Amino acid sequence: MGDYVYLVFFLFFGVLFPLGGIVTERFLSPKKPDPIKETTYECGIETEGTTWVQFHTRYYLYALVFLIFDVEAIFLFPWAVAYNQLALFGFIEMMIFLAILLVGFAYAWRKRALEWR
Amino acid sequence: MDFVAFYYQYIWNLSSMWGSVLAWLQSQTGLPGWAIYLVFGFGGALGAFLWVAISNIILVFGERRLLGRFQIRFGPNRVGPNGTLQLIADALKSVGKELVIPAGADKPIYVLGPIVAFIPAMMGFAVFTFGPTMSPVTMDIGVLYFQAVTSLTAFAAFMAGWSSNNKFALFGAMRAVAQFVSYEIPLVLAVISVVLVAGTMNTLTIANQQTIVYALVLPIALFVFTIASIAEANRTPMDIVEAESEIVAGYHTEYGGMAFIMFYAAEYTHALAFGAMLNVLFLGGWKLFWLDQVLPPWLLFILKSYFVFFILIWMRATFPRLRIDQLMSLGWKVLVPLALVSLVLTSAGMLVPGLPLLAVAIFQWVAAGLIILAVLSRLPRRTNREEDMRARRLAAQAAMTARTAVSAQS
Repeated sequence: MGDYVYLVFFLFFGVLFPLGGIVTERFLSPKKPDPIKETTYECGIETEGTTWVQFHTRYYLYALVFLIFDVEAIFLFPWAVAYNQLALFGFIEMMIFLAILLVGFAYAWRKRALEWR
Repeated sequence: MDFVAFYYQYIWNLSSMWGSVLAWLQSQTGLPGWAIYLVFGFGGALGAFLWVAISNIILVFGERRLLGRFQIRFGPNRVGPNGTLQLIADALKSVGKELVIPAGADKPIYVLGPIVAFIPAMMGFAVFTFGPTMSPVTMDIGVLYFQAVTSLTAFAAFMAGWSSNNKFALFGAMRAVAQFVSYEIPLVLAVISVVLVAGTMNTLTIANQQTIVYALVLPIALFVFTIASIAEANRTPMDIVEAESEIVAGYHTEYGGMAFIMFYAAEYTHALAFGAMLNVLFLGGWKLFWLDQVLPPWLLFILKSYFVFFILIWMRATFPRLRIDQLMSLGWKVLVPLALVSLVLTSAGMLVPGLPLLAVAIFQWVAAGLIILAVLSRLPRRTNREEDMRARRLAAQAAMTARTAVSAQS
């Protein structure tokens, strides 16, 4: 059993450091808002249209392939820890599982879902 | 008490020193047990945080000086002796900068961005092994916890990019998520090879078990982990997320002053976390030949982590930035298959009775050698070097005579 309560302190320091920095800045830095200063920064050129533009579907394909492998990883972790007890049975079973996944991976590769086009 | 006994009892193991301080405190004040338990854990977190804070200063300055050396220039050397106070000057300057929130930005999420960026990097430090028994938090799922927590950085990048109301920031955020997600897979698969060999996910046990470092047993997994952690920590050969020449500064284009410094610190903390994790998984954490009999283990752990970070700086100075299509195909078409090969070889090697580690090492090294040979045989053939040099010299001479002729005419 681990001391999971201690993680709260790590969260505390993780929040304290950036929050402390930004709060200190609030007190020390000047505050002169200006409409020109607050415009979107695009290297001096005025921005055109709305910011939330459309995106290519390739991002979606990567997300899909990622999902397959991430689920695979969740199955692999307990298998890896218990591997010494599972021995040959565990090996063969996981190879079958990996083979099924590899078929999907090969399909994605063949269909050029892994390419940035 | 003489110094040697003091050294081996307290300086050797900071957590036992902290424990005895607290035991003394309890005997003096009679605090309840749970309060002492909590304060003990707080000390561990404080120690890790101090290491992070000091490391940020050392690493940022060290990286700037080292990059200067690598690129045959000086680097910061004016403020203070040898430029050591440069970072303090930078920090003071950043504190004085106005926090400009762009019009149309989603204000709460915009401010939360840098804070959320730092949290996962800091949380990852909970499972590092500063000594044979010295870890801020001991947990049986240490490796999985580290993977889970550090992968949350993608949220921070997307929050910052989406809330900035800036197209460059949005593109950077989309790229960031695509990159983090793609390199997550080889990273996790490489770690599973280590878990297979160690038979546990407890980082303390993994570090203590390494009588022979896993870097020698699992070279393919080490290679995949190193490359993938550079991409996850978003460092220069793979910082497509904030490629200056393409999308200004990526997801933190609209940030300035302290908010930007926080993203910067988060990036370095993240890189240090991956360096230290590489140290735990592949280099045996606190172990270093006979030196771990003389120097305190926590000092060795810190020095070894800095050494891994130095290699990251070296790679940064050596390799040019990848294009995004190269980055994606490297992740999916090279690292994922390599990690799978490593996984299969490791699990096959572990089946060999008697010396499973030796079998794994032989499998991995033979496979690594075959892969290197295959890659080398497919590289383009090199032309005759001397002939090449002579042709170049002639071309240079011709250009020179042409130029002098032109200048003589005018």
